[in-house]
Amino acid sequence: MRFILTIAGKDLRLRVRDRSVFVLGLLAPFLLAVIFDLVLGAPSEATFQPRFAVADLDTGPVGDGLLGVLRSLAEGDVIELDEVGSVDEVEAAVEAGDLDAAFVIPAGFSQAVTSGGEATLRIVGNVDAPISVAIAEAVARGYAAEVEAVQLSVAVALQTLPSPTVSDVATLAAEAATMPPPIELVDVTAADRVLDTSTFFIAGMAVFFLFFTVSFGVVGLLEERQAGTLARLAAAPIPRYAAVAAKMVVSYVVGVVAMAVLVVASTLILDARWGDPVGVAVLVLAAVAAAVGVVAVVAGFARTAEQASTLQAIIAVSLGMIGGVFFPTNLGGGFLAKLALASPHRWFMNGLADLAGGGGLSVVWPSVAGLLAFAVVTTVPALYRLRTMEPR
Amino acid sequence: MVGDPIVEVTGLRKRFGDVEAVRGIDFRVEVGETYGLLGPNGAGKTTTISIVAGLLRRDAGEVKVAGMPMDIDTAAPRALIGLVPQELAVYPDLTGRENLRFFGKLYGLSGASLRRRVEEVLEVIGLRDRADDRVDEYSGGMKRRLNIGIGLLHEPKLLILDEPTVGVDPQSRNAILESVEALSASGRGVLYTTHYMEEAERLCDRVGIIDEGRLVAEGTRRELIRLVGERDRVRLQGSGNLSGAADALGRLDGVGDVVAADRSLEVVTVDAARLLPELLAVATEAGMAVTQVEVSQPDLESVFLHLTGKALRD
Repeated sequence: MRFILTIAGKDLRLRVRDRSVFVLGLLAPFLLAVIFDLVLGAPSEATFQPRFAVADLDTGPVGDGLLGVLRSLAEGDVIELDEVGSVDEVEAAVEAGDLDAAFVIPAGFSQAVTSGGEATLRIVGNVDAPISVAIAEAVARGYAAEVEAVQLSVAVALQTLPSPTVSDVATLAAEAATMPPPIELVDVTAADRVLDTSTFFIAGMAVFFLFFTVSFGVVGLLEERQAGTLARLAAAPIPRYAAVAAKMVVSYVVGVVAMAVLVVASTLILDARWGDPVGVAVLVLAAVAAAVGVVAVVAGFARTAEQASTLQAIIAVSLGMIGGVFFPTNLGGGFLAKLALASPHRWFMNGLADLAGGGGLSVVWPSVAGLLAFAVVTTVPALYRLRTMEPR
Repeated sequence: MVGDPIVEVTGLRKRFGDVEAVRGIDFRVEVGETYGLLGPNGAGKTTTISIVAGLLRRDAGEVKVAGMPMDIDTAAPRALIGLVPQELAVYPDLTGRENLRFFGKLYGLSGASLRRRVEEVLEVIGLRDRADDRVDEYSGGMKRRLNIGIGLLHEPKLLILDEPTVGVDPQSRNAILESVEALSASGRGVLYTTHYMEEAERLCDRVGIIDEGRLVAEGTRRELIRLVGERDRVRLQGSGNLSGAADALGRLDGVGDVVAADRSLEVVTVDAARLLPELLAVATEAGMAVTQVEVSQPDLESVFLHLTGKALRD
């Protein structure tokens, strides 16, 4: 152990003097995360709030229903909503660009719906706000579908009555309208288990550059072989594994320190929200172990330090892409999602997403287990190859 | 103690793929002896000493260092060896002192003994004034000296130097050779590889001539020269009775041919250094006034040429 620490201490001193470890391990991921956040994060996070108005000329129960839907959206800050009294006023506002879209509930709308007649709901759209107009249409269609469902319910119920009256129809319609939908979809994962943009980019860049940062230790073995100093280490009366172990220790220490600094700095400067500190710490330790293993196995099969660096860069970029660290992509549940699990980056990001959902250490174990599996599968062959590497 | 082997190598073999780099080499280095492995590039010198130093696994044969078997996993005999690789095996981003301290720790030195040895070695290699400068600021010769100094730190019983003068300027080369001579005089065994005949002749008590992975001959310089039948030549210039002197010299034991030329005689002998006083006395007695003496002895280059049919630098 003494010799491992002696060699590791020397290597750390060399890396500190070299300074490139600071550039690749700290500066590059931090700056890239800031740039990504500025370029991609700001627009997507800016408040998008369609400006709608509604002119309720009906004042009947069906019109009130739509009005209720719109008011609830406005209360949730999803839309801005003005309630106006005339169609002219609505059209003028849309024409002037003060509104993105407006709903016009015509007089007799409720009567037409409840009597089974033709009912028309008008949308006045601003041609310069196509997305908002599309949202307005979606809201209207959604409401229309709900009304249609009520109509269908009433029609089915009337079939069971021997001689239905107008009063029966009104009663059934009112009951149907108040019935909850038979199936209600509640999205608890997508909303809760998604990293905010700043955290996503700094976490993505941190784990992406981690695979470059840790290479400073292990690739050093190949550099030493080329320089001839490995022969000197191998000639010393120390255990054969000491040099390899020292390089892996250096890789691990440098990786953990770089990640820790990035987590703290991004929390303080970028307002990143990594989640439960203990969970993050365990996740980081596991991610660094996986990164060291991947880099070490590449070094074990490379002939020169240059070859190892090139291979590691290719693998790091490929795994980063597969693991979705560059863009907050929705991988869905198909082939891409399965492929992403072949990347330790994905397991790391999944773990962070689990922490973003509010969990602690208990929720990151699956991701930690995935990362440690990567570490074991890569470190074992790497140790065998590196330990038997001839020094010249 | 002189006469005990510090290294014994028997039947050493090593193959790299299709190439058999070492094909059954035997030699031994005595305590206090400087043994040279002389051969051209690619002869198998570095592979041989890499196995001796425990860096490479051998395919066959045996290596013992101070009686202990040496393998790539054995630590004890390594502590007795100081290795000076052919490459500048130093860390350029560390200072000379930091390099020495680091390697000293690997050889078990610590505390006051480490500090003392570092200072002593810095003195020996003449780098005390530059000890705290980074090695990448050193000249090539200074780096070479540091490279040797690291091998001396733990006062090894055996110093292995692998072509330590390759690529250095004549002044630094001479300084390195003087250092090695001093180390030889200090009583430790030295295993020295080179493809420079002059270095082997100057430094080594015994020389093993290696070619294509085989030790083709071994012995002292004189033994090797005798082995191939090469003779010394003594050229006596002067005046007087040259023919009488030639006859008298030809009758001496140890003298082969005597060839008379214009105002000179060329005497072929087995050992010019030993016979020279007698040659001069006999020639003078026979009536020759000797004004100039020239002795030429065959060198290891000619031995190598004779044994392998090629020059050392081929």
